[in-house]
Amino acid sequence: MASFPQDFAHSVWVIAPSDDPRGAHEALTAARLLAESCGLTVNAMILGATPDDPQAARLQASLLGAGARGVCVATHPALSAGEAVDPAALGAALASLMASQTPRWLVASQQGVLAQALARAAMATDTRLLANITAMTPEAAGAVMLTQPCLGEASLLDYRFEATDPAATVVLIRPRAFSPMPGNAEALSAAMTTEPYALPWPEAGVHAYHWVSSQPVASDRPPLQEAERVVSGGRGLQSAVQFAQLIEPLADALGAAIGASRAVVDAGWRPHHEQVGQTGKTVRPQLYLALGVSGALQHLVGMRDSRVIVAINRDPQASIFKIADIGVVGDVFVVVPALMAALAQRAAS
Amino acid sequence: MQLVVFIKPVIDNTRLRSEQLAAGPMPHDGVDWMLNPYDEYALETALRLRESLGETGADPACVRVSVLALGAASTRECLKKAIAVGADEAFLLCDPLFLQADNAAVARALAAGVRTLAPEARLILCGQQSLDLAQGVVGLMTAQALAFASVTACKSAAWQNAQTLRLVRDARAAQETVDVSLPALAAFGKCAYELRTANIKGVMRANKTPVTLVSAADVGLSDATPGVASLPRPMLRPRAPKTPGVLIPATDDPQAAVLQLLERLTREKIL
Repeated sequence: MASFPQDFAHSVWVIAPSDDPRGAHEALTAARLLAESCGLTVNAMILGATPDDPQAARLQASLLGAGARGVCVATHPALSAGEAVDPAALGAALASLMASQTPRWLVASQQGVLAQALARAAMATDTRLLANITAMTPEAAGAVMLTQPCLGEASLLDYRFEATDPAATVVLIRPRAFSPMPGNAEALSAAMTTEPYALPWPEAGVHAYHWVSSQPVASDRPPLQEAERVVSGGRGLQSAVQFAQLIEPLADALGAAIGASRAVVDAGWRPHHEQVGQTGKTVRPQLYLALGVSGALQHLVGMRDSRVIVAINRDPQASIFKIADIGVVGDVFVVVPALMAALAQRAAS
Repeated sequence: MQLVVFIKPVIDNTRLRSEQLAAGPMPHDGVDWMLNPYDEYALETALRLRESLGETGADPACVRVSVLALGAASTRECLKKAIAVGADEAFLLCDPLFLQADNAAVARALAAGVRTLAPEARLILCGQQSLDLAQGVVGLMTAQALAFASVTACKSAAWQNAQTLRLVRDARAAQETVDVSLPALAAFGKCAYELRTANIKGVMRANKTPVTLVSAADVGLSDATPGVASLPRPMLRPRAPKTPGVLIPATDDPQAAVLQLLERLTREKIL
């Protein structure tokens, strides 16, 4: 096992688990913006369970290809448990590393146990932390603006950091807010030689967290927050049966995830993990197709940043049309079968 | 036994006027405050845990549910709802010192509040994130400050015994069950149940029971923690208004409308 790379001090760190390449590359995009604004370099630390983790090796190569100067793989057997890792234990491990290796910025995707651990580690080391960041804007005068949506996505909050500000900051970025940058992984994959670093693990005081079981949420469709397309339904679909009959085939034809409004979830038509909006999930797909959704503010806040919003609703006054890029004014029970037929014809030709 | 519930009074964003979203600091005056929706799930879970404690052999009558909040004095009124539905007491950390507090400063204040006002507490419940900033970190930071274990994204809780709580939580693509030994903090997402509505007795009790204002000095805090850099003060920036989209009427000729939709989606490189 190697020692921790000394040239990681005072740089911008990306931290990611080996099984989240997408989150790692999104964090790298954000980290490069910070590094360019503050005149620093970007290094990455991948957390893995074993020194010969093939996922870690692949991610190491792709991060180097996408602009990280150095990539260190840090391993500990406790990390093999995935979500079952105690955030307090991982937090203590990261805190001791932060205290000894003095990163200037730490950037990670805000999901899973890593984000929880970083919140604890920031507190333990008196390091500032900003979470739910969706944009970074370099400013001319040696400063960088970090942006966070607020008030249920109704507005934005800007935090302006001077490039010369010496205090360290942990930045948790919202998944899907930053796009991975293209890289050149193949060219580098052969050049990988760095030995993994054994992450020191706290020995005492963190025995409170006991994982019992895990039940996968079974679905053939993509996870809602990771899907490029989402087909979502509201009260206008009239019943659980009609929701399923209309939405499910369309979602499958488009390779989309299924979303639902709060009213539909509260009525028991759909499970809560499909709820989009306040007290549900925030999504940002390429296509958001809203069927029979009136567009209550509580729903809009969860999908307004989707790239193309299509709404089908028979009420031309529905609020959903205020944020839809394409609105189809008509009865969903007529328009959706027509859409299915047209998609089938398209696929056949 | 004492159960502590952290509640953040948040701005009711459905009742904000557009001029209150003008560029500048976050609005505080003339806004409507409400309990953070996720914190309501935490409060309801705490009330249920008090009721079910009898199953572990303890006396539910000995359990206090204490609410701890931090905010402006104008948020005091909305906290009465917590008492009306069954919380025994509510404390509002309220001090000019907290006005500019960032997430870590809020966590330090809450931790000091727990140490001073509920020193025996071994279980804290809170929402997984607030409606306004949605950072989802203050509970975790407070747990760290108090050396409590932490479990996030919880959707139900049950006693295993008086020292262990079984929590069901939403993981990325799975539902996970975790046992946590106290002292611990559990942060809740949406649960299968809503906060109960207050009955007449509860409303009368809330009218008689004041929400106790607690200053920084009351919990032993005097000034910003020395040597700790805080976040830059954030500024509100209204979002650019959305360009109006196209409306395709589909009442007369749905087929034509659908073809027009597909053509536009192709042009947008969606299909």
